[in-house]
Amino acid sequence: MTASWSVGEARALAIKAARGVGMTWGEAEEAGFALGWLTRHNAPGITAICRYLSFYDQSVKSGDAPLRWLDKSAQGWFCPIGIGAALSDGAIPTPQALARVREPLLLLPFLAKLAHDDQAVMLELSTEQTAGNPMQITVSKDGFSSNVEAAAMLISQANCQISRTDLPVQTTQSQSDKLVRVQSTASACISALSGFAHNTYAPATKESRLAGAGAGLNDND
Amino acid sequence: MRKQKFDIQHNMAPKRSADTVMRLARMGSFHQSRLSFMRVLLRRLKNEGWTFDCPLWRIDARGVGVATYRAKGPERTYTLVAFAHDLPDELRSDRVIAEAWDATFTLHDGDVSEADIDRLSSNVPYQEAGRISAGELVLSRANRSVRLFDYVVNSLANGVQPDVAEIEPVGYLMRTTAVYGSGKFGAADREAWADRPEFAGSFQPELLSVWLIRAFTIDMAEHMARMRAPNTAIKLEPSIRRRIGVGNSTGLGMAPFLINHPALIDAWIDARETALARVRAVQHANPDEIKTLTTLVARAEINAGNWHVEHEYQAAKIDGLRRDLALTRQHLSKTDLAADYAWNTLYEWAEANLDLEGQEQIVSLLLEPYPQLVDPLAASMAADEASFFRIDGSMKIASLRKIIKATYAWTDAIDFDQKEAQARVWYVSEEKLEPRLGERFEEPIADYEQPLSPGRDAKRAMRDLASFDDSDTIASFLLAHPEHRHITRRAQLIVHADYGEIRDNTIAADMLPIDLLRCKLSFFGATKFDPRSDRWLRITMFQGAPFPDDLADLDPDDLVYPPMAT
Repeated sequence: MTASWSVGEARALAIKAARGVGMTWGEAEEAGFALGWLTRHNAPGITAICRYLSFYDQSVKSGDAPLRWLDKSAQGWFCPIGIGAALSDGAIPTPQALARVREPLLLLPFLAKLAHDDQAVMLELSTEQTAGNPMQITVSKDGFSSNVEAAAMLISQANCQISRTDLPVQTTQSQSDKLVRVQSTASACISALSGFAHNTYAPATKESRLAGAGAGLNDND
Repeated sequence: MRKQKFDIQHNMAPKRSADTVMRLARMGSFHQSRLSFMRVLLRRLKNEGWTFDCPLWRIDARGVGVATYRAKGPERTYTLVAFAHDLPDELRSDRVIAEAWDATFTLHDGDVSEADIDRLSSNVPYQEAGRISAGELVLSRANRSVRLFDYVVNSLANGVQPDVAEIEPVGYLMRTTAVYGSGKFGAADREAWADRPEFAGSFQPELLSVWLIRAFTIDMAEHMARMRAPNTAIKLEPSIRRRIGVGNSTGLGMAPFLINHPALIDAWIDARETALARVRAVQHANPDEIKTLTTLVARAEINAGNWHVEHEYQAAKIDGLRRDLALTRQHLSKTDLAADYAWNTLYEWAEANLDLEGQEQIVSLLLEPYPQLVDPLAASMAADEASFFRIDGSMKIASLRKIIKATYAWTDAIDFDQKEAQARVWYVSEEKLEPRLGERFEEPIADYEQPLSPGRDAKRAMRDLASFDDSDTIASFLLAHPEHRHITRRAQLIVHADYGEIRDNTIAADMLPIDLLRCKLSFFGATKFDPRSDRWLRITMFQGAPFPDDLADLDPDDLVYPPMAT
């Protein structure tokens, strides 16, 4: 039997990893939320997070930080976690067009928060390849239009059009929590995320070895 | 006469305020109660008629092998799989960083097959370095108390019962050094089993494991005695056996839990405070209830007398507790407990006359005579934390300011620019992957700080909120200040969880992590809290409690405090 991971431990790892590449703790929590939501909807949340944090880490290290919303620069890219959180907060109104959003699959969990019982959110992704014929994903409160996650996963960056839609759509339903696992195929992602998470750990010093855990009386009796 | 305005409709006195309860010094004085999770577990197992057996005992003369303990309830079965190892003395360490143990365990969901045992045998003995599956709920390990284990084995091998006076100061044959649940190391996610009635409340799978581990520790000692001297070896006499619990050695790994789970902590504290308020609203205590309380005060006095620690901080507190319980006994002897609202009067007397240790002991004791008022609250001691995750971005800045002012008023007296107010840093060490507490101004650790200082963070947010209008939204604030996203989420949660926030500076130079540990462990139901420094400690679990083979015949709630001397 090959090892699998619980969603809880994958989510906790994603939070540490996002913090490890430089997000604030509050944003890192959103990264963990996004991973959990996508996993529960049978989408490759861990792959998306892993790929995005790898990009984020490289970019930020080379001085290429994500754009802030309202930044009119023609260059640069948007963070799906930061933009997603701002969308779900209501800081960014809809409809909205955003150029160059990285890893747009990661927007879905946040768009689901924007959806209501009788109103869905439409995400249209345009890339050079989709010219004139954007990929459409409809996001409801409980899920998103099926059979798109594999294709969406291939898109590392897209121009995004976000709008409200009243169209009733068939969306994937959240799987029962009892069944969801992060499968063994994710082991490379787990390793990569563990590497980023490692950045949050303080290197040990002689003093900390002694004091940090409160060594004192003998622990063998 | 009644001094307070009681809530007649709900038959409750006012609950104590969060400003009173959620102080570290008081939380560090909590005692186990009817609502403690170990007691909740045993009551349920007994009331539902669970049965227990040991389907497999494949342990050799050296004490190496595997055993299984099965618990069968009305709907489901759980199996503790125990691996016994031959651990050289020099490798025996309680620290979480150890790599070998005397015994390792997992709690399997259902009956266990030989294939499961096979799979588990190549993972469970390695603990964090192995993987368990969605079919397991808990991963744990334990080390022997070398002194007591050998003493008990020798006694039994020689055909004599061990002396209780030797057992009491230690209280266990083995102590667990970690009990992992809730999806850790591959185990089933909490969501996978949280709706099972047998796990209502908190930490029930973990404590079921520990209770079964306790039975294993006794069986191991008896097995070793039998192997050593098959002709003379005897089994432990039940009343002596009952004085043996399971030890636990725990440290800073547990401390951040209370800060990281505010909704859950609120549920725990609220249940206990609600229970106290209900008892304080009892108008007439009947003679049985009065007798229960007065007897338990005497038994708690024996318990305090048996509680010995080396650590000065706790030793002084225990001295105070002994004094307080003696004072309480004298006070009760000249008090008419049949008078109206006698329990409320007793609580108010305790508040005016006893130390925090004594006050909180009285709180726990007051709950004892009232299972019907108290026990149903146990089911509420859980939280759906995910439901609090979403930030309400439409909230106005004025509201956030109001929340922070109300919940974090205690920070007004703290100047976080002073070194002593932010002397500590909570961090995770690279070497141990465990939470640690460091000195901000003496070690290069500030960059690794964990978000475990809500008071300081709320104050920082307030400073940046100053440049926003009351009518602005949280959404616009967070767009400009993503660094306040964590504390904003927390502040919005705290509105619904009054007891969720500790009203003390968790990074102060004089903060004592053992206060955090004591609070959490009291909710587990631990006794004999024994700090070994200001940041790690030992406790005893299930001491006095029934074993699987005598649970049906005994009342677990009556066995928590030591018996009166006969």
